[in-house]
Amino acid sequence: MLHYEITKEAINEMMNAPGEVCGATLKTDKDFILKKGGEEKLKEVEKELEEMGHPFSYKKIENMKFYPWGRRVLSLVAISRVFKMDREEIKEMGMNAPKKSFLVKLFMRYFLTPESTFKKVSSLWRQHHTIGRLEVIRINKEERNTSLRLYNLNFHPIFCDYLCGYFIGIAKMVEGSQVTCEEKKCFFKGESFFHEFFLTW
Amino acid sequence: MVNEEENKVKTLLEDISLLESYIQELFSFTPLPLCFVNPKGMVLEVNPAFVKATGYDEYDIVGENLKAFMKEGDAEKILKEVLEKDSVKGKETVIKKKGEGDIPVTTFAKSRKIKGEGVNGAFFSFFDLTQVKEKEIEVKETNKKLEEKMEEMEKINRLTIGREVKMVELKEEIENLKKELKKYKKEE
Repeated sequence: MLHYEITKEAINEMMNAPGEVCGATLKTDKDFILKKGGEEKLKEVEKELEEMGHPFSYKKIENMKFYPWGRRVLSLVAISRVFKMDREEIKEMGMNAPKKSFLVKLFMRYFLTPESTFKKVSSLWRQHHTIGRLEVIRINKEERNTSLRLYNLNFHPIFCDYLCGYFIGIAKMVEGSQVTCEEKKCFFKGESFFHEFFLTW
Repeated sequence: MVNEEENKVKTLLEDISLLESYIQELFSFTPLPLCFVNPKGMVLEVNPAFVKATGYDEYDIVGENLKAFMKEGDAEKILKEVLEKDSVKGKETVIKKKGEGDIPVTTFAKSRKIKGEGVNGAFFSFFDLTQVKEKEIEVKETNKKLEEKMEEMEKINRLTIGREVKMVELKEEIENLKKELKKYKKEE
């Protein structure tokens, strides 16, 4: 059973929606596919994207080029279908993404403590996404936790799970300790008009 | 005006891409295992040589503490030293391989500073001493064998000299006995 359903109409709407994302994020998808299934699976994912009506070649991705935001979601959905991934596995994919991310390497200077890292996430988001706003609501240094809110980015729930894992990956890279992340409020669950993530480390 | 700004941004992005591929190629080309760690020792980047030497996957290394891949206590010691002194040259330690086996290495480390922000991590490079250590063992074994041979030779030497001395003594004794025999013959 597929965990992430998406209709043809939603795909087309997504691909025509405004907003772009930096190619480096799509490159982490490519690295994930190659690591998990090699060239064969990369072809399968590309075939899946073709069947969705939006063919794409991962090998042509340029790190600093901007691509439609919908492309990012379609990539994740296609990967989840080919590898038959559930929510936890998508989260794990997100966790591993910072390890190969060009953006992470570019902004290593902020990776000193979880606080210094998350203080920068808003500006980092703005530099690599032309849509959505990521804000740090609070950081509690003593209790080692933070709340992050993502506004105006409501493409598909797959990204909520992926982002949850991505935040864990970032915090783990900096701190190395046990990190947890929970989406406390989600637009898709009708709980709010934003997404709120609560991280502890 | 807008077009001019857009072109500037485009050029900058292209420059960053080129710089990234240059760094990536340089990092991949070197046969020396390299990594970059934050001040807490968390590995943020490794090159293919490090991956090959340790046998771990890049995903397993990045985000782990360097101490997981080095002899107990050494990573912390070297990191502390490099953050304090800016660089560390030629510290011998051991890199742990996935599964069994260690790699003896000489470590070189250099802190990375950002203007106005201070130290934000350190580069580590490792020179594989496996062959040097193997040669050292070989030389030690050859020396040991040589010493054993020398001892044997000395033993033989001592024996030979001992025999010669005994021969001379015997000759002298024969001569003395001959003289005494002559004396007895005369007295008879």
